[in-house]
Amino acid sequence: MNSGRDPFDVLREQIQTPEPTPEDVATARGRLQQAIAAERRSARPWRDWRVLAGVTAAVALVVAVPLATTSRAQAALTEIAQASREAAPLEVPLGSFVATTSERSDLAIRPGEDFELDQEFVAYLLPTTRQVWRQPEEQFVMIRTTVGTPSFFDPLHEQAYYSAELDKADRIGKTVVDQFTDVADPILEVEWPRDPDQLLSAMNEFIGGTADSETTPSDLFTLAANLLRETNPPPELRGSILEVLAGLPLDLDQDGDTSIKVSVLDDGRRLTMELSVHGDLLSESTTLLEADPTLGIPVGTLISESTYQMARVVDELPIHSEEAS
Amino acid sequence: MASLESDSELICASLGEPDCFALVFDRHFSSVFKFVAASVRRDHVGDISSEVFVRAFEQRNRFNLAYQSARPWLLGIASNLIADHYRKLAREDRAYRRASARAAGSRDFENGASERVDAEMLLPLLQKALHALRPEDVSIVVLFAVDQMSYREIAFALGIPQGTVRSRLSRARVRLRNFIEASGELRLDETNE
Repeated sequence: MNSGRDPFDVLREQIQTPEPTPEDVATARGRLQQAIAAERRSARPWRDWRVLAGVTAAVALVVAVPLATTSRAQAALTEIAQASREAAPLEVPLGSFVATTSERSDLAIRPGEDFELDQEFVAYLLPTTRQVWRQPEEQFVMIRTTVGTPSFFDPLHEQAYYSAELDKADRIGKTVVDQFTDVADPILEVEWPRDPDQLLSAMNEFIGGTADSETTPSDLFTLAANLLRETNPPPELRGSILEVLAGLPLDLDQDGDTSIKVSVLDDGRRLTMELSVHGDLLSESTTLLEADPTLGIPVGTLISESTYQMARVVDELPIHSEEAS
Repeated sequence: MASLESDSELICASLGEPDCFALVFDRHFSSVFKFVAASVRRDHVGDISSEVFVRAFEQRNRFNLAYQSARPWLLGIASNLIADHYRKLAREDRAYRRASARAAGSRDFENGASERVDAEMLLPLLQKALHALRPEDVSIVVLFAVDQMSYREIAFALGIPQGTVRSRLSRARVRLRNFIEASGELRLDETNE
């Protein structure tokens, strides 16, 4: 390695940074003045409270009931977006890891023949505790998963499950450690814009492949949850993700002092997200709104549920040599 | 209006009286312009610099009033626009390549492509070196090396952790050194004296 001059010093000395010409200043100032004038024009009618009151009353008469909960969700999310922008970013020094822990319960589906039962499929809920250590710069991820005791929708299924020793196949009670390097996570590969409008456009593009593709609110809701969960977003991006959520037709299911719950309908399911007042994802769940007779799942079943502890930064990985797969 | 001292006071006042934002422009346009000029070709500098202030004006309700100076915030907006600019260039480049495959031998296309190459050749060595960096690293390098901002200021401006600033600078330093030395036009073990 060359022990000579720092390339940044060379850059500082040699790079050309011209002063703006009077024409540059005049052009830029003109564009700003246009923006200021445009805002004045658009804001003026709203400054007259009589116009505002009249328009509000008219809108309220037309859409009072459908918009009532949506606008509450929007207000709550906008407030949280503002708070999240002011939160301190989670700093990850070079070589350190972001550690997260989550408790999950997900729907598992196996062929009926695995259970030696005469039915096509059997569904059950499998709880896991999942600890993840992620080193962003090295694209390194270590995941430690501990599998808990499953729960069943039918006692016969439970009996058949243990008789067929499927608990061994599912590694019930075991802890499994996996390590990955050069992890190519498509979500992490994208440089997500910090501006909410640009972010929405980028999210649409990510989901649909093109900016013009139709995406559903539940698609955007799911991607927003992925971004909050996986990317350790800096405050400005977190705020914009929440603003994108605020623009969706969501229901506000809970409005507490420390957290809120918002949800969206998705093809017979309700997707719910719980956020702290600083915009941290605290929990997610999916509830079945229609019974699934094929799988024997009753209506209202929580088919997926995750709760997250706050991410923290650690300098070293724990030692799991006896558990590593 | 004249008694307002800090940028945060000006921006706060501009929420009720938008014209106050023009003072923020007067204070920082030159600095933003030079930052942009260090990162992109001269013919794009005016557009991007003026767009920074339009965006800043439209997003001023998001400015963190705890910060006295608007400079890091403005440079953060500039940085996002520069990254967008590079992404646009990359898309255009891909489009040129696709068109090249479809329209091989097209005279008009060849002329267009050669103009682009010529323009790149006219760039000073160190600006070409900046172009060799990843788009997300260009702004960090310019903020650090040219604007001499601290890690903390860069982290605030770009909305990323300080550790990320450090690691990206470290990566960029290696790339810059390799690029400059490979070019043969400049030796890093020489001094200017």
